Amino acid sequence: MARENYEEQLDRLTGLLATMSREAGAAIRGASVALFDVDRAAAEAVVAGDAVLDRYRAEAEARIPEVLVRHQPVASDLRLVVCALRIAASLERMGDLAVHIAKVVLMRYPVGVVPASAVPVLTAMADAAARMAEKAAVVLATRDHLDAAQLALDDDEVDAAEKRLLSLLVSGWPYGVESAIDLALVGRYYERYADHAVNVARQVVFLVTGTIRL
Amino acid sequence: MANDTDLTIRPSVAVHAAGITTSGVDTATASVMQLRDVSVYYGSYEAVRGTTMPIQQNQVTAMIGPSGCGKSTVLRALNRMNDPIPGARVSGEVSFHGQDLYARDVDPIQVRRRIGMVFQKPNPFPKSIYDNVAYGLRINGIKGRLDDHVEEALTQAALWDEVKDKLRKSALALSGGQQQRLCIARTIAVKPEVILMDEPCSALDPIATAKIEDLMFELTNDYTIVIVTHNMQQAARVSHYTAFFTAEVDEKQVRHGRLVEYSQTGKLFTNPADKRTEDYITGRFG
Repeated sequence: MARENYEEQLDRLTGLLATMSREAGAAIRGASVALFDVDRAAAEAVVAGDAVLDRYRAEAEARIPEVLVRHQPVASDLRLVVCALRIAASLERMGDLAVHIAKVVLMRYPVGVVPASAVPVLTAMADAAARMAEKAAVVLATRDHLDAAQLALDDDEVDAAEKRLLSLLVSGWPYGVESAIDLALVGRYYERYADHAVNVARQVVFLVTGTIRL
Repeated sequence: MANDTDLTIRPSVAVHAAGITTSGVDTATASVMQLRDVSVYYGSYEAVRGTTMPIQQNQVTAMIGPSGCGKSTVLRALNRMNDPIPGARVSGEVSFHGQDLYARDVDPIQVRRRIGMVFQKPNPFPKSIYDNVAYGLRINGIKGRLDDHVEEALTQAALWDEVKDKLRKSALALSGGQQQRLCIARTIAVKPEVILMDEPCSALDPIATAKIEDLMFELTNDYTIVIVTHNMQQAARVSHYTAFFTAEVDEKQVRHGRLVEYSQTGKLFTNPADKRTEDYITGRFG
């Protein structure tokens, strides 16, 4: 009985993370739609949807100490519980960063934030971020640590795109300081989002292998 | 043993047999004992097969595993406590400072003085507290002031303050936890180097258990401890190294105890190298 309860609690924790990873992916895709299509409803949906991620993170944080105290997990169970705490924090933060992008859109609405000249570089960032969210969700489910390690490569793409964006903004940007600040922030939000996706993947690597790779 | 120098300090070299995972082991720590391919037989039955592991000096080594895995048998092989069992036999080598404990000229009584044992159930003699501790000193002809030795042993066993005013009272009047600490005092009074503990807390309540566990930590300043325990949390709390044993059925459907994994305790309980260890410690055994 206690044993079943334990397995159930670990399963529920895993399920919680899977749901959160899907929500975090939906949030960044919604934020990108809002950004490129100047879609107010999409932006509002991202802002409203964030409460779900906050609630799940709080649930994970409440469950984990209870699992620790009642079952004293060891080995891979212990790593799951410790990693779950960090993964939940990263996924919740990914949701926040998507909200930040949506809020920039809402602040400027009905004016768009992204001039045509910045569309290619920001699209590259948005696509990579969405892809990384997707991959993070997949490796959480498959626990494939080799796939998980691949996320670092996608992250390099995002970092390179952010550099391109910043050099665009500082070399005769014709749309004013306000626009440049908006885009610098949006670029940074995507970049941070990607970093958290890498962190989720890194936790999966630790969960599976028991070793930390930097 | 012919003379006591047979068991004087000689460096021993740690060797690890193939097939046993020994990870995260700090080779800088000196081993005081070494098992090399040790099998223990009861008659023709091989109870434990091919155990190779070191016992690190001034460290706590825990032996864990399911019932029938041979951990207590191996523990008893470390100070020849299986000798009195008819048909019991040890193959391979159990060395103490490089000296084979089962060599012909080694006296088992001397072995047990250097490598003491504390049992599962506290077993004080039906004598006074004082005499329990003094007993081993007297029969070993230890010189010097007996009172001082008794006080020192009781202090080291964290019992002195509780019994100093009633040393002439019967040991049987003490609580279970106090009796167990008295047994530890009785063991350390003769100044062994290694203390073997066979589930020393399984008959004790949590408070008495915590006292013994604290005591083990203190004792590693002067002694090397090997503990057999069913309580994995206890192994995780008190030991530096953990050896995981399991029982395996061979091709003739005979069960043998086997050492599966020996490593630093933190490593074994967070990232065991062998799946059998993982399955056992996470409770998914069998």
